[in-house]
Amino acid sequence: MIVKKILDVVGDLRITFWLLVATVALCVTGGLVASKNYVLINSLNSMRIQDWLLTQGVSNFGKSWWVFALLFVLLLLGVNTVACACSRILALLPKRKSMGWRAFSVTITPSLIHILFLVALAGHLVSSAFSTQVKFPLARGSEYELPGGTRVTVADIRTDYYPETSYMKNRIKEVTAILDIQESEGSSQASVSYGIPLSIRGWNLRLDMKKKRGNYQETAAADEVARSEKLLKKTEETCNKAHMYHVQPKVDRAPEEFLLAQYDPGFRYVMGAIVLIIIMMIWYFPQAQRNHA
Amino acid sequence: MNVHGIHILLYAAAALCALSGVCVFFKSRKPAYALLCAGVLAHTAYQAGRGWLSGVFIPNGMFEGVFLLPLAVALLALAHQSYGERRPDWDSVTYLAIAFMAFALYYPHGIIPPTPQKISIWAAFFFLFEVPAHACFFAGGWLALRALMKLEGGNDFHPLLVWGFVFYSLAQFTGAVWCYQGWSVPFSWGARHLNSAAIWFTYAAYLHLRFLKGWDMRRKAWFAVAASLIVLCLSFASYLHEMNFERIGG
Repeated sequence: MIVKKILDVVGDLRITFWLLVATVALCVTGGLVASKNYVLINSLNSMRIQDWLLTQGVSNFGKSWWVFALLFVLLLLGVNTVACACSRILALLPKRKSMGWRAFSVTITPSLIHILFLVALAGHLVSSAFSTQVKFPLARGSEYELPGGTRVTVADIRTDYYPETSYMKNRIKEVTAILDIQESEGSSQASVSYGIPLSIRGWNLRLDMKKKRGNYQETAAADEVARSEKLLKKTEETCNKAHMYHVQPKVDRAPEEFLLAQYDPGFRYVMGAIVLIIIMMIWYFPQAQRNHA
Repeated sequence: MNVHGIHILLYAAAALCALSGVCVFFKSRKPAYALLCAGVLAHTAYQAGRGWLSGVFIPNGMFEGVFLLPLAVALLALAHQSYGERRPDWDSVTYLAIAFMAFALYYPHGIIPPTPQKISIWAAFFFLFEVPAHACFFAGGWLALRALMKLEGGNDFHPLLVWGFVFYSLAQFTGAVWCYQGWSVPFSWGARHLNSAAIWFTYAAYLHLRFLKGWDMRRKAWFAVAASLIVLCLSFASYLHEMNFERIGG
């Protein structure tokens, strides 16, 4: 009885509602802060969240307080969701025979969706806290060793441009790196491009860009370079990588591309849970609407 | 190479949509329906044509939110008039399509040259789900506002918000796959993703209202209106920001 009482109090739907409202407010605040402080907030994507909070977060608390608050509110929302789902499932289970299978499955679906929401949330936490990212400059002939002992050699780099007859002429369409991969079982060859990442033993290999290769010819006049430098300064705090990628001249900008290896243990849980949530919602809402009518 | 002529189709679609709005105002339902159908056809052809704006086929242009949104809203109105109960309050959704169309006419028509990471089938799927979700949210908010003003309608807005949420969840899934493929993370800490999360949590909160005491239809309608204003602010802030980006093809 005490457990039930605790679950009812902690899992109260009024608390759920206000936690959701708080989450919205913090996400909107975060969006505003991120749009003004792109470099700081974007650095969260390449660092483990606990490391970021203890370094960047603490030293820039005026701009990062909402991340702390958001994590705290999401933690509370997680606890509230566990309590709410458990309380409802415990109440419904004894009624499953009297309700009939169909009515029972419709009634219990929202609780299952909530549990899957928790799995997705936990997956995000695992991704944020335990992901590992290693970045190598991409150059022909370079050799890298991934954690785990796999050796990767860049055999070739191919750059495809859009046709000369189009408005996209001189712009990069795709970059493909041909990799020689040496593992304990033997060696093989594979390619990685911006559009198609490569998966090796749980590591996701993809190309990344930092300083952007331009669409201008190397013969770009000095004033073009100056204009570009000015643009770079202007866009330093912007998320428009595409802009920088296309306007920056090729000159004096090597290395520009990276091979990025990432291990993300939470990704499969996030995606699996979201897929199941969507399937359940598509099944549940028409049933609920019919029952309501 | 002259691909800019394709924009004439957008102006034609806008004119047909506006004429349909005039017919709705004078309660001539059949001509309004026929004109909206013609407008939707012209706009669909325009969206397809946007794929070739750069002189080479790039699908991203076909799915740009600003241009797809009025089409999605008009399609919603048409779908209801074709298969629904043909209630007059739904005709007024055409006004919403006209408003979004006016913004699309004002907006730069070209496409932002995409980096290789942005050319992905998952990007197309993302926008194909996100824009109809926005259309459902806006149409739901609009119907809720009319219900509050006691012009017409009842809780017609509720199913729109529910299906908008489903579409939006699909957009979050496809967006996460696209993000993982291109940037190695399913959620990127940045304004765009945080705003998407804000919208998703807003409608998650809405779905919980029916279990709360004191939230009658009228209060839920107010929430639907406020939620659609949140979507409007967040999505249009992003569109306005992107107006400054380099564009080609118009």
